Amino acid sequence: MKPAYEKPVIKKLHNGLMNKFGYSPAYARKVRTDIDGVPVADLVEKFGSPLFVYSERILRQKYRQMHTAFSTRYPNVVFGWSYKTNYLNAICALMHQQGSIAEVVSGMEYEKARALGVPGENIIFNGPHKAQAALETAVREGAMINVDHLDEIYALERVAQKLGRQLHVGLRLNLDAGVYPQWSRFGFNLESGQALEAAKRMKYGGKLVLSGLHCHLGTFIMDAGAYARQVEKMVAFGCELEKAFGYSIEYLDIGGGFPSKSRLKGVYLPPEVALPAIDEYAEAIAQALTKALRPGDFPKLILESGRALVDEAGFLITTITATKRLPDGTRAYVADAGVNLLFTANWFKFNIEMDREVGGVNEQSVIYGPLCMNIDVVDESVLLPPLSCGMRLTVSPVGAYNHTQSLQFIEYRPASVLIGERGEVDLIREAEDLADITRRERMPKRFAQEEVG
Amino acid sequence: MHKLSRLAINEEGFVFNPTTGDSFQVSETGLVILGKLRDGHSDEAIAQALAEKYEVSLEDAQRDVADFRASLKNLNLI
Amino acid sequence: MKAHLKAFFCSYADVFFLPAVSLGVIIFTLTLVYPAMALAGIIAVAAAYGFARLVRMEKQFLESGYYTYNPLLVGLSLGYLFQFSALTAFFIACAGVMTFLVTVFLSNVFLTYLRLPILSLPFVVVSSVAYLASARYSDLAVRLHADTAILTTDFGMPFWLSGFFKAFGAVLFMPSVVVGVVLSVVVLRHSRVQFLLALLGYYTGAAIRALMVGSAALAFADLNNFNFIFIAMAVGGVFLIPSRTSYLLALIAVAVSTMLMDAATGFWYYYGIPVFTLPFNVVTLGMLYVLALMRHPMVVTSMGRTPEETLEIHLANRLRYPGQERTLFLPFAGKWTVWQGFDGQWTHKGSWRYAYDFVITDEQGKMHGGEGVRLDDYYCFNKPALSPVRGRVAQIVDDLPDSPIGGADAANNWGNVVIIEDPRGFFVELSHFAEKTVRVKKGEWVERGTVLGLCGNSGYSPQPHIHVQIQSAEAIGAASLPFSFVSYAEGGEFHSNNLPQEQHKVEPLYRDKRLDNITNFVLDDELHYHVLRDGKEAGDLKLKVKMASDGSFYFESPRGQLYFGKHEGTFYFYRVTGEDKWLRLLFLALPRMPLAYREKLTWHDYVPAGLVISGLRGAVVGFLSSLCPRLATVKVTQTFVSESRIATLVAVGVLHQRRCASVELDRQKGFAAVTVDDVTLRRVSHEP
Repeated sequence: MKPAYEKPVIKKLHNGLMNKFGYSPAYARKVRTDIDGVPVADLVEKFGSPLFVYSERILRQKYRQMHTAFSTRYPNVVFGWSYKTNYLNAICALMHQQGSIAEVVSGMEYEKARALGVPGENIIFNGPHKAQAALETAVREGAMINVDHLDEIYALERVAQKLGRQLHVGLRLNLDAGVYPQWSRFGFNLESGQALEAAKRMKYGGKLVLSGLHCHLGTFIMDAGAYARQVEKMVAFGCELEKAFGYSIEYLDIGGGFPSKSRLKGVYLPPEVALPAIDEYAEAIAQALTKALRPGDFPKLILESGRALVDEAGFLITTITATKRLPDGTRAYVADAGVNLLFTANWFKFNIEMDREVGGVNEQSVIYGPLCMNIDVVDESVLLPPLSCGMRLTVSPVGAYNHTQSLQFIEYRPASVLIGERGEVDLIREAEDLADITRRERMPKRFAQEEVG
Repeated sequence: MHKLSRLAINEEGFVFNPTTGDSFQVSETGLVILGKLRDGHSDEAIAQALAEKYEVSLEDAQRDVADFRASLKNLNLI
Repeated sequence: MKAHLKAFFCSYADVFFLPAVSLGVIIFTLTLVYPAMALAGIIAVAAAYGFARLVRMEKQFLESGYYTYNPLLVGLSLGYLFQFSALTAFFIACAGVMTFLVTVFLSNVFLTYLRLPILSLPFVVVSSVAYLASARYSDLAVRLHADTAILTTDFGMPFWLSGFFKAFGAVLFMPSVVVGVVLSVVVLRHSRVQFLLALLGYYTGAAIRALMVGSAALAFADLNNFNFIFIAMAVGGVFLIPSRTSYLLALIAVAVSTMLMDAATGFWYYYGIPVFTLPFNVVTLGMLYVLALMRHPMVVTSMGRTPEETLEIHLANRLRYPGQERTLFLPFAGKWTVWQGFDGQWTHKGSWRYAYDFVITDEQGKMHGGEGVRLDDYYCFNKPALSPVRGRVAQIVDDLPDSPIGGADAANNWGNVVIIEDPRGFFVELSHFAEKTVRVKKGEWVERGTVLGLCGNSGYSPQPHIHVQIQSAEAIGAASLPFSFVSYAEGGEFHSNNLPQEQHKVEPLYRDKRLDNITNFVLDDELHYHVLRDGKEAGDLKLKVKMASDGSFYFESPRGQLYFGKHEGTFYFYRVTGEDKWLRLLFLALPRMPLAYREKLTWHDYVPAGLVISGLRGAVVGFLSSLCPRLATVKVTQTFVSESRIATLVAVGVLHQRRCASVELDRQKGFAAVTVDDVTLRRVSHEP
């Protein structure tokens, strides 16, 4: 029986530099052999690598936590699942099963929700680009439309004219809640009076009835107080509208933007310490609402959270396909998943876990993706022991935006699976093949290759 | 070999270069390779020896030896 | 003029407690058999009315049956006694006026001090007076009864049968079998319950008297037996809800009255006056007074046009409106679980039995995560507790510490409390708040849903929970009173006003602005519907929103009224009157609607059986339901299919019939379409 083999490593010693958090970085290990009880190796064997893996258990737990946090503090709460965060049908179906309605920001997402069986009434249609045809369909099907700009008001009035009835719509606002950057490109500005003018224009037109207010502050907002300020301003504006135009504000859609426990680059503290718990957000929002609203008035509170619900439920398994040592001595690895699948790697430093215990001392390593593009870096600097080809790494949390923003570029897009609460694994999206790449292409005759012989 | 022979190496894998004052930590297998290098063995022979001694394939051993040699060069030890 | 005629004819029907003009016309026609008597009746009523106009009381006169049928009976009694002449006419007119005066006087006294109707007491008083006086008036010739043969013949019936018909006719001073038969048919056609009671009353009373007096023939022939008929009708079907209990009470009343009748007959004999309806009035009013004093549940609060209708209204209302007058909202937001209810097994006993405890549980039914040893392991700890009423904060205690799990502060049983005074006349107490988390101050006004503080574990509390109760006094620890919760969902089912069961998950449903706006019907709003049957035009329905004199709102169509209203989180259709069948369909399709939406929310309601069962079947069911109320139960189950569509299922148990309906809500206001079976009411749309 030969003794176990460890790769030979030599490392220069620096005096006295211990990790602030008490453990020696030389031997700290992050190992994950399974996701929700299903071994990583089994998943890759069956579905290939790379592989998006989602955990139903975590999704349901996150939803329950958020739902309880809000519904026990305010009696009229509805969750709208933000499709752009992850619009895999299975994930959306899961969210709808839990009681969520749908929030879409394009004609494509609208059609996707409808194809899933979501009735028009249960769809919130946001976004700066709503084509006339999509708008008309949404109106006919009873969707909740939040108006982004003046031209949309004109477009809706045309639809109202065509259908011969008044339409109920919401108004998107942008306002200053102390968040930087302020997303001022969406909706009508509140402080400058632009939003009031828009409401006035609607009233004057006589075809649209304002019945709700929408405002989405930003993404990954780490200050619960920002939401409190937002709510205060929205309620005050709603009261102003009710008094001035006789509207009845039936819903307040405060958007999403709650963070997940993902590590934002440039933030010093780890997410467990830096980010408020969801209960803090709920408390701030509920308190601001009850203070600002008229007594006995409980308009529907709509939350369009995406990241906070799905990010931590998503994992990407990738395989090391090459090891290198760069001229400056840094250990480099080439993995089969890069920024083509992990677009958000540009802003987040993911948690990278190995699939097995590996002996040896950690070194600062860089992980590259498979693309022949210099920007394809998954992580510029991560402490890893010497890894070999064929080892799997599990990258997390990647549930939000990575799948929807993944590129059909250079590599085939991989499969996605969902691990159920009893450990059952379901394929929810097949890996792509050549047909997916070329299906929509048409060849002009003059370029067709002539048959040889 | 010249530089190598000047290094102080102990059994725990601690390496000291008196010329520069730098100290290094080396793993068990690295220790073996260092020893054999000092003894003047060739890379192929070292790889062979590793493959025989440990649970490792010959190709892996060859690659690792080459890699280790590069590290040593980088650290100015060889 | 129409109103006058209506009141006049109705008075004839009022005698039998069946106010219907058609009935009155038939009975009036009957009286024409003795034209002089009929004329006497008319004179008396006219005189009373003329006097009423003179003192500007004609409105009250026309509105209440007592003002018309008392002088009518007086007129008939005098017309029966005397020959018609100018002098008698004058005498009758005076008697009519006197009846009016006595009616006003007595009804005021009775209403104020006894809270009783006067029935036909004025008639008894005035007729007795008139008869007494007439003994000294020689110029008023007593009528000679030279009746035609048909009016006197018995048709060979046995005495116990002819006796009944004669007694029936004797009410109108026409003791003739023919008249009695006609009256019986008329009454039977109108109300089976009434007729049954008439039979029961007569035969019970007559039989008892037969036993007492010793001669069946004599007992059964006594014309005063009509008192038994009326006692039975009044007690069994008019003033009490027709049921086995009321029938029993009716028979008991009849039995008691036999004694009174014979006593009165004997006594009055010396003065030469008949007892008229004195036994009836005394016994009926006496029994009614006692039962009302005891707040007997069978005493009628809203009277229908027939006993069947009264029963139908009662049955529907009893099922439709469970719950109390003292109502609370659930004192929290989101889904909580009922830990202990009224008469709970741990602490809700004795003076404090009327209380509810709430906690939050997870999917496994556990009230805590982790080990359950720390306070914040418990899900409901530090969650907001909301005010269940609008009112003024009367008292707060805020500084007691939270007891550890398992330990309990027995010295300060209730821990940190908030007591709110509800302007409806009671106090609401919530207890066990977490230390220093009460957010309201003494004297502050709170609305339903205002955050009072955070759920904690202070006081005698083994684990965090919200405790709520109603009490009549402000002091902490005062005895509790029964109450019920409004507008909540229990396991997917909406309850307008009820009490949830222990271990069930409940969630308060606050008024949704959208549904509230949709049901904001304003006076003079007009709604126009096309009616389609199987897709083909079948009519039109034009509705206008009107307000009744008591402040309630209704939809008025040319042929009917549909009363509606909103109360504590529910939109109701209360009842439908008149003959408009499309309005009845609207009532059937949506007897009530919660003013809050949750996906697939269901709710139940009950409608009067008469809405779905008509004709002969309706008559039979109406009659039988007095003996077996369950027969008349028509349960309506409804669900929100989407935010703007409701599906309805009507289950007519007794006929094993199910009918389907659906309602589509208009985005702006009201109902866009209502479908019941193959009939659809579709709203005619208006321009934006």
